[in-house]
Amino acid sequence: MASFFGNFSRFGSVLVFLFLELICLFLIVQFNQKQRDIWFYSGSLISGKFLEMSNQAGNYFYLSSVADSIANENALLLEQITNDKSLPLLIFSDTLEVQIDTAQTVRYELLPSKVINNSINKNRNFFTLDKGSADGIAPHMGIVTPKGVVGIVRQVSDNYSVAMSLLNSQMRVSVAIKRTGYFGTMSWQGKNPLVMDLDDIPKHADLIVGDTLITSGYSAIFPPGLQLGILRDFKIEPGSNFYSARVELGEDISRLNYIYVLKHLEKPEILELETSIENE
Amino acid sequence: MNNAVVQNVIRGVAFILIQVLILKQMEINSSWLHFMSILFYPLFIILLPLRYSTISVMVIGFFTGLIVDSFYHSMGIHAASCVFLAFIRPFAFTILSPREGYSVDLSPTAHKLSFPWFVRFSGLLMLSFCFFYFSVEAFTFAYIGQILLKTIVSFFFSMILILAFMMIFNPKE
Repeated sequence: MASFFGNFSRFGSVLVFLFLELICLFLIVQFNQKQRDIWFYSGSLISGKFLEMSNQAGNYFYLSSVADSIANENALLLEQITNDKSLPLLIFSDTLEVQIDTAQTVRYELLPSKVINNSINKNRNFFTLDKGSADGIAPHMGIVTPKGVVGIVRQVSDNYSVAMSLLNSQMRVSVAIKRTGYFGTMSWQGKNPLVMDLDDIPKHADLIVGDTLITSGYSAIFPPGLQLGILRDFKIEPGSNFYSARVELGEDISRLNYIYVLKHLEKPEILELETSIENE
Repeated sequence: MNNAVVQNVIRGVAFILIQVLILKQMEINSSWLHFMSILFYPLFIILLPLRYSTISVMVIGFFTGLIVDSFYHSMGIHAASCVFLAFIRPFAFTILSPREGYSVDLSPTAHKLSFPWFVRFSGLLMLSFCFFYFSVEAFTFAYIGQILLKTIVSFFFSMILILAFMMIFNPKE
């Protein structure tokens, strides 16, 4: 039976079949107007689809550079707002309108950067930024996002810097309650990455769950009035004169991406002044 | 050039002439069924002897189709269909293989095998041929309904002609 069909193998006949059909296809498209039109129309449909897909893929790769440029632009705009002494200091959000006497306004430069490494599972967490001293970043600069404070720069190389996260047991942030102005210290106990402890608020202070917490401004690292989070609960330990409270952070540090480094432009002046007193 | 080859060449020329001189004219003049084409010449490829390899049948079909195409001003369409017909012919043999098998020097005629066998064999091939032909002619499956309608109508009339020919002449080879 099989001997009938093949001096040639079936594979060979399939090849010849495809070859002849290709010739026919060429002839059809070459010499028949209707089929030619359909052929080129379908061809353009398919190539159009491919172009669209490749374009979309290209857009996707392009996104990160778009995000970079938007971050730069944001930094520039926020800087202008922050440094405009004729305006009340208005930082980051409409809900947070911290007005400070214009004479007190400190000048900060905002350096946009991207977090390229981060951890939240240790007792002392750090994250890495993709910019370093070449971009003007130096140790002890504050790091913020529009939703709140996230850390402080510790080590800087030419192109990278490592920052201490808020989620670090050594971190102490001086905070104030926006509504009443009482201040305390915020620290992290190494459990929930969304919650920090708040101590040193005197027990005569009037606290309400949901109070907004802002930076107190008692250091040159963060300007006053930056949002940090909201008060989650509080209690007074027996015999203590201070509240033990917990704060829900505004920014989820476990998915940090774009951040701003705060460069205090008048810090050298302050340091000079402070060291001159020590040297007296 | 042995007798069988001469006979096949004569038959091929005759079938192509019938197709392009008579059936094509009918097609042009019949406004009452514009989606009908009577396709008779594929019978030439169907009747080629079994001993011809698939490849040689495909090459013969290719050139037969090209000749028909040159008359139909549809370069490549008939050729593509004939190559397809030649390609699926061995599968039809396999599907419809009689219990005792085929003998080497056979031509697949009603005389050598039975008439019902030939009806099934040519029907299967012609249906495939018509469908392929009208698909290639439309060059898109956007009008699949029209393709199927043309296929069925043309298949029906082509088969009447082919079977009538086989009954009247009943060729041995």
